[in-house]
Amino acid sequence: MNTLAQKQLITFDDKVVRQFMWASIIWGIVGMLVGVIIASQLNFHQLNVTQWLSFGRLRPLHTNAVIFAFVGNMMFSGIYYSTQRLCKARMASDILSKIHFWGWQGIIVAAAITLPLGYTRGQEYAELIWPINIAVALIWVVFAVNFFWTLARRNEPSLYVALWFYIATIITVAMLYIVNHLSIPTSWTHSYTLFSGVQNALVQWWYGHNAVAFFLTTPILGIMYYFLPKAVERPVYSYRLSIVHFWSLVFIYIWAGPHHLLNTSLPKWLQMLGMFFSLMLWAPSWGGMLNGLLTLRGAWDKLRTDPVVKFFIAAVTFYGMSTFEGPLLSIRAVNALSHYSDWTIGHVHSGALGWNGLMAAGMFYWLTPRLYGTKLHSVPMANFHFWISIVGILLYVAAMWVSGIMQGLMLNSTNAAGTALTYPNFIETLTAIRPMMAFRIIGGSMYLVGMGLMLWNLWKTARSGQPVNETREVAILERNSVDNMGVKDTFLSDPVTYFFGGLFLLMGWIFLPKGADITALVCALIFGAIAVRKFTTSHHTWSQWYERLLENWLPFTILTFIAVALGGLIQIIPTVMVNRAKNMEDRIQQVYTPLELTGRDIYVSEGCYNCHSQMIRTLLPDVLRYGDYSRLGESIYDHPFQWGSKRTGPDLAREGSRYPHSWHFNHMMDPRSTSVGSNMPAYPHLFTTKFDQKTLPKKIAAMVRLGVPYPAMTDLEIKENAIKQGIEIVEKLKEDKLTAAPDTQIVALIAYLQKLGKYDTLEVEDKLQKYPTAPGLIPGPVNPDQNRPAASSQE
Amino acid sequence: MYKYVIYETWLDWVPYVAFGVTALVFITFSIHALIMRKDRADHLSHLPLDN
Repeated sequence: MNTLAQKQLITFDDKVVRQFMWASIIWGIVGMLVGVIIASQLNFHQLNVTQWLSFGRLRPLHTNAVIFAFVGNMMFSGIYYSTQRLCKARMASDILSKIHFWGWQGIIVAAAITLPLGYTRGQEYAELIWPINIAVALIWVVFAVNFFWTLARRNEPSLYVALWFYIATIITVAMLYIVNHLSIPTSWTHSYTLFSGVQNALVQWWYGHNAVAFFLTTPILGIMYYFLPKAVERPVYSYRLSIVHFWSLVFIYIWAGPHHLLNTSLPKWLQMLGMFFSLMLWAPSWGGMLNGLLTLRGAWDKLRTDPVVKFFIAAVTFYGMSTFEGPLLSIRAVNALSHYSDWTIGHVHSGALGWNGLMAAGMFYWLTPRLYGTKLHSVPMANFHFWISIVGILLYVAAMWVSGIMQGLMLNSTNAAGTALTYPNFIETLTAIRPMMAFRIIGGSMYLVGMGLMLWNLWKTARSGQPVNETREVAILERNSVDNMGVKDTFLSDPVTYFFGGLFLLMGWIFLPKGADITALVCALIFGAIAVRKFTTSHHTWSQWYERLLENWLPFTILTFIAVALGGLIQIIPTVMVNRAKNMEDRIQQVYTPLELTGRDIYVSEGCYNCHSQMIRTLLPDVLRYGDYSRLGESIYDHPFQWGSKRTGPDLAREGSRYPHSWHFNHMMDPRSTSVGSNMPAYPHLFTTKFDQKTLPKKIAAMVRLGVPYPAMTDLEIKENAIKQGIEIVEKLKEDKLTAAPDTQIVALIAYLQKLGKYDTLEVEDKLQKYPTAPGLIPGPVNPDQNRPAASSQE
Repeated sequence: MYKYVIYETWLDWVPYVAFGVTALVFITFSIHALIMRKDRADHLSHLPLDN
C-alpha cells in the first residue's frame, strides 16, 4: 500500500486554464465566422473579394482555426484543470505552462497570417508551412514535458481514465504530426512533402483521420470522463467498460485512415483494412458514448434544469451519432456515393459542432463560475445558446446530408445500359445543391450566434467575480510507493509475455512455409493452453499487473505508444516499400518541367485541391465522366499528392490537353465565361503576378533528392527552360488573340494543367529484360489480374 | 482487378494479422477488466468526485 507521509496545501494553477478557455472561445468565434464566410462564398462567388480572402485560401484557415485553435485551446483548458485535480498536484512548471499558452497562440496567429497569403503545404489539416510545423512540434513537447512531469509528481497513486486518454493524445499526436510533416524545405515558406503519391495519400489520411481520433476525440473523451461525473455528481457508469473501450479505441482508430481513399488506386488490401477497422470502431466508440450517457443514471432530471448537463448529454449523443455515421461511410459501397460529396462535410460538422462544440460549451459553463468564484450570469441565455446551437447543427447537417446524397446520386446516375451519364454536365449537379448550401449558411450562422451569446454570458460571469486559484490540502505520497515498475516488471510479466508470445507464434502460422506453419500453429495452441492454465491458477497476479500499470505512468505510456504505433507501421512500411517506379506494372507519371512544377506550386498555393480532385476512381460513373481510372504510377512524383477529398468542381486527373490554353486562360479570368453557373472564384491576380524563378533551382534540387528523375541541369538552364516553355504557351495564346507575359503565374498554371494525366508506359522489352522468366508481368490488354500468379511466382 | 503494383502475396495476409492482433488486444483487456476487484473499480471511478 502507499504510505501517506504528510499533508500539504496546494494551490492549483488555474490562470492557465482561464487563459486557454478565453482563447478557445475567441478563436472559436473567429474560426466559425470564417466558416460562415466560406459557406457564403460557395453560393456567392462575388464574395471572393481579394486573393487573400478567396475560398481556396480561407478554407484551410477555417479548418485549422476550428481544430487547432478552438478545440485545441479548449482541450488544453480542460486538461490543465482536470490533470491538476486528478494528480492532486499543481502543474509541474508554471514557465512551461506559460510557454505552452503563448507559443500556441503565436502559432495560431502565424497560421492566420500565412494561410491567406497562400503559404501552404497543400495537405488537409497539415497546411502550415515548415517553420510553423517545427514550432508546433516544439510547443507540443513543452506541453508533454509539463504534463508527464506533473504525472511524475502526482499525489494520487492511480491514473484515472481521463489521464489515459490525455496520455494517448499527447504521444499519438506527436507521432502523427512529425511523420506527416516530414518535408524538404526549398525556402522559408515552401517545402515538398517527403512522401509522394500513394505514400503521401496514405500517410496524410493516417494523420488526417487520426487528427480526428486523437485531437478531436480522445482528449474530449478524457474531458468527458472528468467533467461529466463532476456535473452530474455521480461516478462514471462502468469503470470496467472504460478499460475495454480505451484500449480498443486507441488500438483500432489508428488503422482506419485508408477509408478516406476507398475506390481509389490505393492497393486493395489497404482499402480492406481501412474499411474493416472502421466498422470495428463502432464498438469502442459506442462503449464511450454509453459510458457517458449512463453516467447520468438516476439524475436525468438534471437534464431539464442544468444547461451544463444539457450540453454534455447532447454532445455525447452527437458523438454516438457521428461514430455511427463514420463506419457507415467507410463501407465501400456507401463511400462510392458519399465520398467527394457534402455528406462527408455534414459528417465532420456533426462531430465538430455537435461533439466538440457542445462539450466545449458545457465545460466552459461549468468552469467559469468556479474559476471566478461566482454564479453563471444568465442560465436562460445558456439555455437559449443550447437550443440555437442544436437547431443550427441539425439544419446544417440535414442540409449537407440532402446535398451530398442528391449530388452523389446525380453524379453516379447512368442510363439503364450503363453506357452514358444521366447528368454529364458537372455544373448541373452543383446547381441542384445550391439551395442546400444556403441552409448551410443559415445553420452555421445560428451556431455562431450561440457562440457569441456564450462569450457575452461568460464575460459577464467573469466580471461579476474575481479570478480564483483553488487551494486544497492533499496527502503527499512517498515517491517510491508509485512509479516503481521497471522494464522487467512491465514487459517480462505473464500477461505481456503470453500476449506477445502468442502473437509471434500466430505470425509464424501465417508467414512460415508449409510444414513450419503447422508447427507454429501447434506451438501457438500449446502456448495458449499454458497461458489459460497459468491464468486460472494465478489470475490474481495478472490482475495486479494491470493495477500496478495504473500506478506507473511511464510503462502505461510506452504500452499505449506500442498500441498506436503498430497500426501505422503495418500500413505505412509495405506502402513505402512498393511505391517505387520499378514496382509499377503499367503507367509511370511524366516528370514535370520546371514551369509545370511552378504551376503546380501555384495550384497548391491557391488551394485548388479544396475543390478539385486528381483521382478518377475505379467506378463506372467516374470513368464515364472523367476518363480512364487513375493508376498508382500516375501520381508517383506528386509531392504532395492531389487526390482530393471533396469535389466542388470536376476531377482534373485527365485535364491535360482536353482544352486549349485559351480555355484555361478565360476560365481563370472569369470562370462563368467557360462554365456557365460555376461558383469558382476568379483569379485575376495570376495574370499580373510573376512566378518565382529565384527558388526554382532549389525546388528541382529538392525533387531530385526525393527521387524524381530530373536530368542534370544548371540553375540557368532550369530558368531558361521555364521561360522557353512560357513563351511557347504565350505564342499559342496569341493565336486566340490573348496576351500574357511568359513569366506570369497564369502561364505556369496553364503549363501544369496541360500536363495533368500525362504518363509513360513501360516498354515490354524492359520488363522482359528485368524479369526474363516471368513474361506474365507484362500487363495484358483486357484483364490485368492475369498477371498475378506469374508475379507471385516471381517472389 | 485494379492491381497495378508488382503483386506481393504477403500483403494479402496483413488484414488478417491486423484483425488477429486486435482480437488479442480486445480479449486481453476484457479479461483484465472482468477480473478487476469491485472495490478497486469503485475507488477509481470516484476519483473525479474525490474533492
